Amino acid sequence: MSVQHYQASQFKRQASESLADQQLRQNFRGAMDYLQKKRKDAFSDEDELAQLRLHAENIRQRCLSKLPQLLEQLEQNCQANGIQVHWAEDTRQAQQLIADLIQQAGGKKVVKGKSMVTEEIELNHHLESLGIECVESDMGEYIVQLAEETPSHIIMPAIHKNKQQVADLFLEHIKDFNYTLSVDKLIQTGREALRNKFKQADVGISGVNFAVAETGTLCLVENEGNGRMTTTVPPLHIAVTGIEKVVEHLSDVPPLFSILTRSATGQHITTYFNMISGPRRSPERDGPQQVHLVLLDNGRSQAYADDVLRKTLQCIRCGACMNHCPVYTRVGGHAYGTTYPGPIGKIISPHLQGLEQTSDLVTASSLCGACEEVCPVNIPIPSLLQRLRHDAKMPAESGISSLKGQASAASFSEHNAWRFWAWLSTHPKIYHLATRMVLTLARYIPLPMGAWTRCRSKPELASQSFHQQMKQRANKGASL
Amino acid sequence: MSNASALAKANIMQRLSAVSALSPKPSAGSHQAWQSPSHEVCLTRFKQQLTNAHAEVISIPNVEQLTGSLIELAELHQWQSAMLGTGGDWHQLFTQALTSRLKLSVFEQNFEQYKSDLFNNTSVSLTGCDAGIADTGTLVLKPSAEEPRSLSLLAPCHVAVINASQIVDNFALLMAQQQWHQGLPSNVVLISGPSKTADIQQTLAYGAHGPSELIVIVIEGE
Amino acid sequence: MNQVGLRMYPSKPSKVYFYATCLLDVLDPNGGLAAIELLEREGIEVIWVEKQSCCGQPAYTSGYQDQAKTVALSQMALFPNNYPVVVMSGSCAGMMFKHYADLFAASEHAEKAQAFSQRVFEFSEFLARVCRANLTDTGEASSVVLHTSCSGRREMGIHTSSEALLAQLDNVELKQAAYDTECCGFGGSFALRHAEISQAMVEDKASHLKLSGADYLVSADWGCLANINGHLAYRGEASMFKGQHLASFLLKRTKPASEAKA
Repeated sequence: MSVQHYQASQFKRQASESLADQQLRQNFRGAMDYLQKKRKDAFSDEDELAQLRLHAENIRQRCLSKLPQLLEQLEQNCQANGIQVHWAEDTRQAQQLIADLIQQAGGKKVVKGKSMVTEEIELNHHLESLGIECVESDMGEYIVQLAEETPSHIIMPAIHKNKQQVADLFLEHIKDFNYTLSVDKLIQTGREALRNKFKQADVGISGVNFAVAETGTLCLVENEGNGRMTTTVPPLHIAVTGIEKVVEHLSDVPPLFSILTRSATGQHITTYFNMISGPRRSPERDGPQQVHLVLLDNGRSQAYADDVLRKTLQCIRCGACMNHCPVYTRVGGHAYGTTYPGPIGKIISPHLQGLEQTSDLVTASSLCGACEEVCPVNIPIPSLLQRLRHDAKMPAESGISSLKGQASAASFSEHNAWRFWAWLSTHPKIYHLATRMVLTLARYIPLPMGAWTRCRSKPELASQSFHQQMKQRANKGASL
Repeated sequence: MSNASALAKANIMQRLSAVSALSPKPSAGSHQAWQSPSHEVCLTRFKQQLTNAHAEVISIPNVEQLTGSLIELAELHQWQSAMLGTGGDWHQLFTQALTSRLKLSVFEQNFEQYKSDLFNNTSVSLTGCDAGIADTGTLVLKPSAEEPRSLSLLAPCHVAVINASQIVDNFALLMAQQQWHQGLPSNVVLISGPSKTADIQQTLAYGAHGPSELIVIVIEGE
Repeated sequence: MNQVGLRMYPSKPSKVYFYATCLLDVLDPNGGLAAIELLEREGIEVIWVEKQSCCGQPAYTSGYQDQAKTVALSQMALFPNNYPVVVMSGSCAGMMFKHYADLFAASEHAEKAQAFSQRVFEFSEFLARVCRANLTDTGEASSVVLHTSCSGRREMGIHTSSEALLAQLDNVELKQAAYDTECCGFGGSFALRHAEISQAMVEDKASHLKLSGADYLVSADWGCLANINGHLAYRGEASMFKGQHLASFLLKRTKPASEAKA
């Protein structure tokens, strides 16, 4: 059922379509204004925020610096707790591994908590091809699944829809739905539909927000309770996470959790923080009988290998960068054609899909820096974009390993143009002669301005450049 | 672990370990979690934060008031059926208060026995708490055989009882005091209000999947 | 030395280098002359190095770091003495202040780039925080809306210095535009590569600036101004509201009453 309408390689066309959709733009603008204000209100003390960001960045960098050891420790402690640990290098391995776990248990019906990593591996699509029903239980994800779409935001998956659009969707898909625009009633409708699914499910699949190496604990952050349902009711729980989500100590969790929820939705805490350290232990009466953890690489080790790009993995998936991005606000999440949209998506996706598919994403930024300004772990997103722009055009420098799709957007003519530009800019006499020529010629010949003039008049060029005027000033000064 | 998984692990570990040893930078920044000057302020904040999060907070001066308080609630909410664990600090008082007033079930067998009832025929479930966090207005539950996880999840209303003395300033402090790093039960859950969502047009709605009502009874005295 | 934000500022020097930037060179020479006049009024000797061209940012943001380095090295070499370099645009200043150091990190030029970057000041930053200029408004009552470039705001942290200068003008009301921290959509090659997105951004920016109700639009960055002015002109709304460089506006407002007409 999961339909892939959107592709990263088609970003420009998709963005163009989104820009023309006034309803979509209105939905996003409203949602982003709301989320920006919520975040701002949650960080009223700027010094406190600065200290907490530095601390969170420091924790993430420390954990990444020990990643191999921490993964080993996590595996050992999870296994000691009775959580079975599995590893997957890519999408296909992860799909197969999870399908095997479900089929070995005779599972036919799966409920899912919100998990971007399972979107990344297109798990629903794969399981459904094997005849396994797979129902999204987060309200936003549920709406998106009914619409046969993918999430347009990593925290609020159905942010692109307004309540009319949700009501229309329910009318089309849910039996006996009494049409209403009351959000309370819409949520109750979703609740009832999904409670049946929870009750019947053989398997619950969730993501992980923090995997604690020290104690072998999986932490899940949520408001709705669907994550708890998914990890409590079905007899089998499978948690799926990227390898970068591991943290060293339990004491690393409170600061990260605090800055995560405040950055994401402006909440000081979410309704539920669910810490799972094993399956049902005798004589406990409930909880899943089996818990599995799937650790996924899928391009993360490529980012890890590079001193600069490694910072990408500091991300704690709060979504603040997209909430504050002027590009995301206007084109929405689907246009990116990637699991993770927005600024963070632009720096993660090249590792997941390769630069060949994503070269238009890394240029789709004015480098305004709004994302870096709000990132809770200080990821320098604009600098990383610049680096990826370079990698899309140029072969890797010696001593640095090639990225997937390195230099795939290389252009001989463009490279030559920049070589010429650099030559010109370092030969002042010719540079200023050229400037003068342009200013003179522009009076007679229209300049080829291309895309610039689709919404702008041609620039009004000065009749004499600053350089010329300064020269005259100097001459005048000399003759006085 | 299957062969494929073992091979995947070896390959991933090889790639990660190929990166020359990274030395972590010295610790930087700080997390100034909320701290209270007195237990009174701590208690006030705990109740205020929970109330802000749409929970109903009832303060009673001592444990003797608990049954009376529960009887009042049962009448007010017209609960038809309740589910309890088999133990915990308040089990006897819960039983005493409710047993003659509504259909009372006790979670003494495995979940599968009660699944249908918990999903469809339980108005309220009652539990104690392991601790409270004042900073964020949070209940900390460590579900056990006596008080299983689903008691705080499946019924439309969850009543939780806590002693004021169980409330600490912040999450980090609680972890340190209780030495959580020494090992944790299979499930620890932090609850900071009724279930909610803003997934439809950023409009807040309660009772998304978990309880739509959270009632916290705080016993303030000894 | 005085500290504002994260940066320590030196006391007012007797000489500065002037960096005009390539856009100002061809679009607004008068803005450059106005800035020089304002600096000279502070008793500072302004040194003009004719060989300057471009800071290298266009190549850098397009992913051509080698070309950016070539140009950056050539520019740094033009300003050998230990005088401040006053730059007429927030984004070029951001390039020289922040990215030169990044470009040459762990190279033989690292130290030089680091030292050079500490000498770089954006014009409004320099006038407000180093010169600590006192401006006397001689113009008639009017209002102004300020657009601050993203580099000025986020790489240099200097959006407040333009505001502080305008706030000194007694007869000028500083209007606030909605979404004033949002990018105008220029971003160099971004405006060409992703023209439709850039268009959506500049349309909103121009509308928000207009809706502020201000009489005048000023900015200390010709990248943004070329973008916003181009769009205002396209909409036929440029005339009086056409954006001008902060230096031009400040100079006009502070001319002796006999000459003043802002």
